[in-house]
Amino acid sequence: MNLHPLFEAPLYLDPGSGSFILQLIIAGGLGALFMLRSYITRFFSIFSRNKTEEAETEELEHSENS
Amino acid sequence: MNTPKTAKQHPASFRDPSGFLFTQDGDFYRQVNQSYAADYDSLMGSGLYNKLVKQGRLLPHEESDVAAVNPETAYKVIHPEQLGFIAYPYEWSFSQLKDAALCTLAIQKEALAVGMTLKDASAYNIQFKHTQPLLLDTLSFEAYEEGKPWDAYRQFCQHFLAPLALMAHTDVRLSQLLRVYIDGVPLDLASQLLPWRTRLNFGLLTHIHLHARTQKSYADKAVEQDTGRQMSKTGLLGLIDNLERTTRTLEWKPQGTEWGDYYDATNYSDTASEHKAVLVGEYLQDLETKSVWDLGANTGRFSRIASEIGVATLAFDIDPAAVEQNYRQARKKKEKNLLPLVLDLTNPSPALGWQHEERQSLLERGPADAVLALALIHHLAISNNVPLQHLARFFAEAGEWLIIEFVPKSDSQVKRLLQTRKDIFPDYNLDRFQEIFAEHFTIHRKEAIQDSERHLFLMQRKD
Repeated sequence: MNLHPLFEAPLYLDPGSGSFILQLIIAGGLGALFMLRSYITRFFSIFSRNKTEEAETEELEHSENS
Repeated sequence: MNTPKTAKQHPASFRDPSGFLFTQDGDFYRQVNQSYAADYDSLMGSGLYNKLVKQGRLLPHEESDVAAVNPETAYKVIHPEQLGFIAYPYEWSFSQLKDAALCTLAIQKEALAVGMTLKDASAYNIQFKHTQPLLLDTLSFEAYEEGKPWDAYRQFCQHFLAPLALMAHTDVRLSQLLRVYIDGVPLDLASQLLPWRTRLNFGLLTHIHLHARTQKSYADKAVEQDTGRQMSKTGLLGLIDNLERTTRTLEWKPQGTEWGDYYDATNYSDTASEHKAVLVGEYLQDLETKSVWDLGANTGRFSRIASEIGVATLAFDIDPAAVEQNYRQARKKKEKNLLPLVLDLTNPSPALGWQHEERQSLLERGPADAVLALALIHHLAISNNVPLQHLARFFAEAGEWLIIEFVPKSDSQVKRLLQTRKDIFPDYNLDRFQEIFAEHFTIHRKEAIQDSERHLFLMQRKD
């Protein structure tokens, strides 16, 4: 049996065949969603110069309030 | 070059061939093996190390001239910044585990930005410095190969996502599964224990329920070449982003309570509570201790008397809600020297893992310079039937100094404990308490707490 080439790299941790396959299955969808989100963020950031700063503050508040 | 006379490899550091931890003269060092040289140089040379250290997400180190334990395989020896007490994920509250998970994902994003990736995502690689989670393991990074899925995906889900989901959606006490399963909660078990409605959450459906299913379908099967598929970097970034979003949406709060008033109710009058705080402060001032264990710390009111004068303080409590509130407060105010932890003193964290040496028991991680046992003794002596002799022995082992509050049977809290049971505790009174503790301790101070029936003692262990 020929192993998938990515499995031939020496790993000290067993990534698990199932965990590996699942990532291959969901990668396309999650990748597309991720790209879409980044485009939307970039689109709106044109209108708000302080977007990054706001996002950081929001993140901080989120972690403190959560 | 120093000779490693007393160098000893750390018993939990044997899995990763990239290197290992060892101790010498009481300090931790890490041997970096030649096989890891290229990855180590990338970490240091790419700016990733500096960036993560600056963010407070990676434990800083210096390259050391201490001799390697295995010179034939060694590339370098590094001397990491030394941490005090090592706490374990089963001792963290919900938000501590969540913050540790988010820290791991943030590190992975930074690593991917410079062409590296985390090769593991163990919760045991994270420790808290004050209230900031940070990665201890300098050898967790490797070069990212385009097309390759994340090797640590399974470990991240088992160590972080599954226990967090169980704590949020099933029962917060299920964090204790981490104590049973040293490599994280098996996903099939998590999938069974989570309520059906978690299948409506896309992240949990995918990373736990479907993940468990695929693991079962592919158990013991190697992935054959004809699958031919690869995972693009965008796909990997999408996966990390989704894990982060899923983790962020997990929330827990004790049912029917609001954080603000969760722990306001005690049977103390303001006078008694204030007087107790003054006495604890006085006792601690005289001691010049470096470490304090506050056992039964509740939300940490008295722990802060120690942490605010610069003493490294662990605030242990059995109640995950009290520990959660304590941590949130410390995090919000960016408090220093205080680490709240969940601990059942009647069954404290044991030694775990291979040869019982991978995770240390509570007492193996001690002793503390001083132990606080405030409003605690009645819970151990009466609720758990522990004889006073056993308690004195335990406290003598836990720390050199002991600040302990004796709560008599006439106190309303003890009356409540005895209300539903037979009083089989003839020794439980102030005189016998003093006699028994005097066998192990020298009693330096004893004060009646104003407006209460309780007494506060300062004792020192006899050598």
